[in-house]
Amino acid sequence: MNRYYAFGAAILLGFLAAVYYGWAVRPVNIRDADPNILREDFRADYVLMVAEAYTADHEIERAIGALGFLSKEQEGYNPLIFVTEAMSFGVDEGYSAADLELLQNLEAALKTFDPSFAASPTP
Amino acid sequence: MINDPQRRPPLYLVTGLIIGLIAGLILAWILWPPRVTDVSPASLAEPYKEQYRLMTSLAFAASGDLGRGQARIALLQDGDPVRALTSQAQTALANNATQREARALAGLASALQEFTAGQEATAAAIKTPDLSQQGEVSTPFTASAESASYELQSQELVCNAVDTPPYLKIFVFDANANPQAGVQLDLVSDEDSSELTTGLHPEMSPGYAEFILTPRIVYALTINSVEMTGGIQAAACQTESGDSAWGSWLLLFNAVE
Repeated sequence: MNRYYAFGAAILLGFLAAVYYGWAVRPVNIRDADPNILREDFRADYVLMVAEAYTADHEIERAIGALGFLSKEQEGYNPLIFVTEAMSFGVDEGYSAADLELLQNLEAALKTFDPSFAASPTP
Repeated sequence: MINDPQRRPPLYLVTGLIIGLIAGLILAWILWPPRVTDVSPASLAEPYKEQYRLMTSLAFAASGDLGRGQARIALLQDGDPVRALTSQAQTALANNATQREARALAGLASALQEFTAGQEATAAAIKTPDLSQQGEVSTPFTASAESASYELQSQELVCNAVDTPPYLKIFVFDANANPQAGVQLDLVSDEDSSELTTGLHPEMSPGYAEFILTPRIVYALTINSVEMTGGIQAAACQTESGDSAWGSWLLLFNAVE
């Protein structure tokens, strides 16, 4: 009978070790990921890129399209959310004043372009 | 040999352990992998990587901040970032609606390539030469190989400004005399080898490529892996105002039908 217990304990031990290894030590490689699961700093930097490009061309519709990259939704998303999140992250992480100004300019342009963006700040 | 049953390895324990390991890995990697968030740009699907590359290029075109552009492109972990940008630029170049994007992508590719070349070039490359100390520089060009699909149409040493490094400027045309983008060029010296691609400077010409020569190093140029010319060296010259300067070699190649 002791052998059966020991056999079961060995299975359990192997199982727990493998689950720990597969989840924590070496999780599956992520490929072909969607941008909406980008880490927060990468998301904020992407928004900053959009703000930099907007400063040069002042094409707000192009900027809105580019911000859609971060959205799960194909339509009806609110690009202002991403800019607000990026500004919040930038303030917390010590972005330069120049970068924060770029984000503020984009935020202002979005609000001017479509005031409904500001009216519905939640996803 | 004594076969003591008490000392046999407990195989049932090993078997149990293996069964548990296999079951655990199946669960952790296949049936119930951890929910992934917080990925880096390197994990994005290729179409999203292209969009990330494009935004990086547009931001670089706006700010001119190469350090930032370089750091952002590095996040994608492309094997050859310049080639990835060039390839995407050529795709964009084919579409009239995305010319601006093509210029931005090519601009960043060019800046990255120049940055790399600049790091490799010695400080002497940008030091204005002293003609009196410059030894005789051979006429650079040798005959093309018989199997070449391009021929050297003209060669010229241009002497314009005293503060420019010794450039090699190459224009490649197809058989109909149209500028040809995407042609692979290799400059090979005893010390090094550099890859160039036409089309990274669309403001000059889709068929244009350039390289900063390092003085006293002799290069051979190949197009599509066929050696076209050898003996290419930085050459000093005199500007119209009489100042000594590095000249720029200007080479024009035509495709042979």
